[in-house]
Amino acid sequence: MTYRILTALLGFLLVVSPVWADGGPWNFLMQLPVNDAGITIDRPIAIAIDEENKRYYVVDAVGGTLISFDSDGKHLAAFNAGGELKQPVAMAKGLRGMLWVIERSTNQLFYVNPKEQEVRKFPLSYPDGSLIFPARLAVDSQGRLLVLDRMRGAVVRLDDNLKVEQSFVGGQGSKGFVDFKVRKDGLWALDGLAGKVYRFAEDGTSSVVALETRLEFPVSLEIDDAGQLYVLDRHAGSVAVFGPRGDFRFDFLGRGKRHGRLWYPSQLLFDWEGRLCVVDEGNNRVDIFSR
Amino acid sequence: MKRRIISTLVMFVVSLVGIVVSPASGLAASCFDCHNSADFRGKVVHSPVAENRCDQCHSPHVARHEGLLLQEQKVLCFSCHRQLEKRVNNSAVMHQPVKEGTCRSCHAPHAADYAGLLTKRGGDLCFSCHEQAKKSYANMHEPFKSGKCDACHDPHGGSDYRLLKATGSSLCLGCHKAEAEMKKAHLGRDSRNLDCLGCHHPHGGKERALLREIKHQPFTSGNCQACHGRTQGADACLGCHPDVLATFNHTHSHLQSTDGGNPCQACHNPHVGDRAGLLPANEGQGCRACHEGTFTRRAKMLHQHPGWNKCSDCHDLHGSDWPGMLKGSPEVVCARCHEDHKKFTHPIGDKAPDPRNGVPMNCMTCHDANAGTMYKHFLHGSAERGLCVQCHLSY
Repeated sequence: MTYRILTALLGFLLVVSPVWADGGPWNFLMQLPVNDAGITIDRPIAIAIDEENKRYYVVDAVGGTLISFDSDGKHLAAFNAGGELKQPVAMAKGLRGMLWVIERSTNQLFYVNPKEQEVRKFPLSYPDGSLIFPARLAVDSQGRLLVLDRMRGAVVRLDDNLKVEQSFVGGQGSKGFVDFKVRKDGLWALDGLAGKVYRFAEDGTSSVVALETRLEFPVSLEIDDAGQLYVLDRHAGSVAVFGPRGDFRFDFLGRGKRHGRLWYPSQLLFDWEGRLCVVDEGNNRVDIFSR
Repeated sequence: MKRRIISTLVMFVVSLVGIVVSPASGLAASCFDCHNSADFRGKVVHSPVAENRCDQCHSPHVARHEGLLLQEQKVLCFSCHRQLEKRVNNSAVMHQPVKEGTCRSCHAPHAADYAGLLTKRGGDLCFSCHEQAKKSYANMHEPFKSGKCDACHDPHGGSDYRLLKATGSSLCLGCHKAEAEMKKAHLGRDSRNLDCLGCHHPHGGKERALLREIKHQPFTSGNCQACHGRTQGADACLGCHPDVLATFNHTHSHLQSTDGGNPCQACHNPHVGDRAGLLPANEGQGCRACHEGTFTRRAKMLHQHPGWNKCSDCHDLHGSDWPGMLKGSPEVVCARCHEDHKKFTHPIGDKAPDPRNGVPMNCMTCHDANAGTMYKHFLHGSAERGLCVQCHLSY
């Protein structure tokens, strides 16, 4: 009996070990655009998803376009809002098929109706008139817009009139947020330089997790259902995974240009199936990994 | 009988003296048969030399190390100087000679005229490498003037690149204890919370207060309200410098508040600086405050691009549309200095896509001038083979 248990355990380890050999349970699934798609992305800088229709939107900052793909990576369309998009740097899917886009050339927020090719432009500011320098954005489950402001290193939630109704800022010693994600359990924000992840409740109260390992240049954050924190290190070209208390678990990928490597990656995002999307700016591709 | 006893005693004393005076194997007397003993004299003598114990450091016959040293220089020194070893190992940044294990760069191992067996007088020794720091000022900080660099710097290691003995204002407050006077000069602020080195040059300056030389106009004219009367965010700067905002409007923008306050102050001092733009003299070290990883990576590399400490030669410090915030495409940035290389190169550009990712090849495909590499010309691999086979698989 003991012999059987030992054999079974050994067999299990043999099966599991190759999966974990690269430092995590992630397998490469596909790349956007797929190799034979016949399209190229000039400089992918960000990605957004449409959970309802299961679509990916890749933001091409140099080409000035938003490029959509279906769940299998099939290219669907490229969109530049009638030439209005010059230098988009982030995007989020809003309600009723509308798109929110950050246009860097003017630092404005664009509200885009893709069907009508209609664009409305909004500058953003605080109630005291000081500027918001938008860098990332997201729409929560109630359709409210949240924007990362690099001017203050804070995340702000906007009301229907795009006025700041709530600011989420780091505590003492904060070096400013560089990315955030909105989940059912709150707003999560990455303070890259300080190596901390904040979690904010609806009312703005926060808890903070210090990451155990110092990363080179953290730029993006994701959180899986088990509460593990995924942090993208732009200069190291790797994804570091931490436990809910900030304990380092493993990292994967690495700096380079070959398949399975990253060159100045810019963003992490989980899609509707929990697949991990990594925007690899320097390699002009988006890598998608599944468990 | 009496004569015998006296003879025996004399013989005993003579033998004893002989044992004490005559050199044991490897000790100084036999060494000085060949090595001039005058070279081992000085005001300060290393204790093994003073004790005629050459064999504490040298093997008299053969050794693996130069100078017949028993061990590698640093290991040998630390075998006695253990407290120093512990302190050095706990330092975030080591002085370069310590890092390289060349204690002899500063210390004479046998004898010297200066305390600590230093080969030269304090300041003269430091300036023999740090030539750029040897300047004359109308007003000089007393330790600098008297060559007592070690009053502020730890010559072995410290918590940052300056090897300072203490952080923040505590370094200065060790000597400058007149709190009331300092409060008066700093609008009543608690000196412990001040960043003294942000405004004062620790070596010298034109004025008695050793303020850094380039001054913000409102500061010079005492018009504090020009900035402090406004919001403390970037608008305090943009109100007078509105055109600067557009320089940040790039895919990669450097605009990032690092303390929840004014993002401009992450790089610029609002009062005084060493050079135009109210920036510190040591450009790279200003960048290092946030980009420590790049500097750490570079420090490990054998081949580093010259002038790497002047980041703005290649990077646009406000914003860029290129990864790494380069001033343009890599081939354009590199060609600004490497003009000849424009005429002969591996195919680059749109007609030469990198087979690994389809991206047009450029200088950075093969070279890493930013962090440097372990290969000459900052290549990503050995030019004989390792680099080329990444693309030329059948090579």
